[in-house]
Amino acid sequence: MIVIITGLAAVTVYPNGPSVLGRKSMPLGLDLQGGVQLTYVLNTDQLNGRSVAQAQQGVIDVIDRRINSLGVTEPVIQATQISKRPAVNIELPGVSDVETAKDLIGQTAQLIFKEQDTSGNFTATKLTGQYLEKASATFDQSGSAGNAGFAGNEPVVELKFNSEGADLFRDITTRNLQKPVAIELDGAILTAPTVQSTIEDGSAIITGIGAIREARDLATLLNAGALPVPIELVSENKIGATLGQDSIKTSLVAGLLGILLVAIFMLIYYRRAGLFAVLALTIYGIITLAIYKLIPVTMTLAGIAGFLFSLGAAVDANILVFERLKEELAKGKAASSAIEDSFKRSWSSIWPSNMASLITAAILYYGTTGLVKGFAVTLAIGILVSMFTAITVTRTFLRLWGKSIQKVAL
Amino acid sequence: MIAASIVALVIYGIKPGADFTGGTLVEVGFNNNIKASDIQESLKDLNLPSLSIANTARNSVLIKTAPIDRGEIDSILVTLRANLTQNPDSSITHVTEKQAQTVGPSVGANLARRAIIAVSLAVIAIVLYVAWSFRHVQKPFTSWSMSAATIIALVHDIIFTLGFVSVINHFYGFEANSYLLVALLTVLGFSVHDTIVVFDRIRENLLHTSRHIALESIINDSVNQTLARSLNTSLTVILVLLALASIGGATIRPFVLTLLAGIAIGTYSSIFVASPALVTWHHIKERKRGVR
Repeated sequence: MIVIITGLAAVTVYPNGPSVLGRKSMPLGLDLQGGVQLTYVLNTDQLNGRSVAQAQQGVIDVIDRRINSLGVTEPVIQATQISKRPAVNIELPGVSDVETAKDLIGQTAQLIFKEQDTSGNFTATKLTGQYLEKASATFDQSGSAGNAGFAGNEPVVELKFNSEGADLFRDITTRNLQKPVAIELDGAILTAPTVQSTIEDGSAIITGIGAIREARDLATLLNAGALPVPIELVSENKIGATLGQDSIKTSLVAGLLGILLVAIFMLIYYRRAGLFAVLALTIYGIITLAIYKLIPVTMTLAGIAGFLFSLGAAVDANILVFERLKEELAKGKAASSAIEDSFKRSWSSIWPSNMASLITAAILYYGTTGLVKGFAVTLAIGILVSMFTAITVTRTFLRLWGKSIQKVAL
Repeated sequence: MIAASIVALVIYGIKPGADFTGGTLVEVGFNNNIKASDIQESLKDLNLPSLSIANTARNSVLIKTAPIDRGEIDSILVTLRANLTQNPDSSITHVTEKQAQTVGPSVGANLARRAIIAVSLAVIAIVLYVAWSFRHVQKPFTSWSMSAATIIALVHDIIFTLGFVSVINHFYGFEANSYLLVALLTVLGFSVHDTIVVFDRIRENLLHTSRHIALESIINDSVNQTLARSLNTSLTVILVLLALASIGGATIRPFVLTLLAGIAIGTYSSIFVASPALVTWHHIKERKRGVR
């Protein structure tokens, strides 16, 4: 028992440290921190031989790379389903510029090189963005793309192909000497320079972009790769940070006040045992929050509700034991046997009621998304910890107390 | 009470929010107090689909419409700025977008459908679990009768809470959103907790009392013995919720109020609904047996 308590004490130190396992603070959900939530549905008309699941994972990977370039901390990108269509749900905490985020995420970014057929129409070659090794935004230094007059001024994107792409590009430039080759992004021709000579080293330049910022965005998109299938925005949710801050501050104060009231009530009503309960509940709170932080659980209002519910269950476990203890003592039992019996008897209530909550939490976790899922996670963790602290901490305190004196009064 | 709740539900209904039906919500903040009716007047010419406007605070409003795109949201803001800040009689100088949300109809329907399926599954699982965990209960009760009584209490609590929600929806303009669902789940959890504690006591008392004592008195004793626990536990939870409702953030108030009502009624039902339901269930079965 002492060992367990020491172990608990070790855990309790965790949240006081500045950083545990690299987790400095609990990530806050969108409703608390503000940010953007976007939902896209995948267009699976043309899968090009991929399975739906592969396309969905591909979309998630590409979007993840694109978002990384935005510098968002802790973005959430999840596969989901909307009306049986595969979809992707994206949460970007702390992002207020929705339009930039949408521009960057929503584009398919399919880069295709096209050559002219005999009748002068552009048709696709085998060279696409997938052979790209690196794209970078810069200012045109050479004027080689045919805009000599603007040399040094025009923002361009430099493309560098891998060896396979370089071979394809050499063939294309050989085939099309003195003819235009078009570079097309998502169906729109960006530039169609005339090939002056065969290009061996696999490098090309895209001109006609506009501002340097747009060139950088394009380079980012190309580096992140094209989406395997086009996507369509179906839901957009911008949550103001001020709303969240208001909620956090006042609600935190209110929550603490409420917990303080509970502690006062327990102390008045159960006196000495109430003190044990308050101690046990404090340990419960610290362990639970430490686990939330280590996993880490993203804190939302629903998550806080789950925590409060489990706190209720933890208080309930203590009250059940104390009420039972009163009864056992009233029967005239000695302190130590009354304590043992009260635990044994109340456990048959604590166990099934908490199990019912755990079953509910498990079903909600697997059956739902977002808000309700967050509730299920904090609830399940809280319930498990509350059962643990109720049997170990409260019982140990009471046992030690029961040994030291013969008669206890509640 | 339950009849009043059903009446409230029938009369007022529960307005599903944009979370479930799809729609656009825009919260707009102002530097001074503003009336929802002024906003309504100002946006008249935009002909927004199924427009409704409510104050969320004295200096902010929530504008709801059928799903619209970003361009239309921007035109709302532009129109408000033009109409309000350039009016010399108006004290408004700043109009800011606090939050904007657009949920496509299919997304909303999807969310609602999944939530309903998950909650239904949870209720079924609880029925099975209660039946299983009380499988050794002594006659005359069967574990299924306990399970049925648990569900009766649970449905009672949910209906009452929904009735309460429909009333605050109606008078304070709240809409049912995902948070309502979380609140209902919490109420459901507490309700089952309370009922299991009382039933566990009934099971124990059945073991220790002779067969001659009337069932009603065993149940009555069990309820009395767990009364202090039920009241104390509820009191502690209600203390926390009262603190949150009185000084907590305005945005979580509907959520907290729903929980308060649900948990208060959950305490009542574990004492006055679940156990009588158990007795009634038993009597009905006895009578059936008598007829045969």
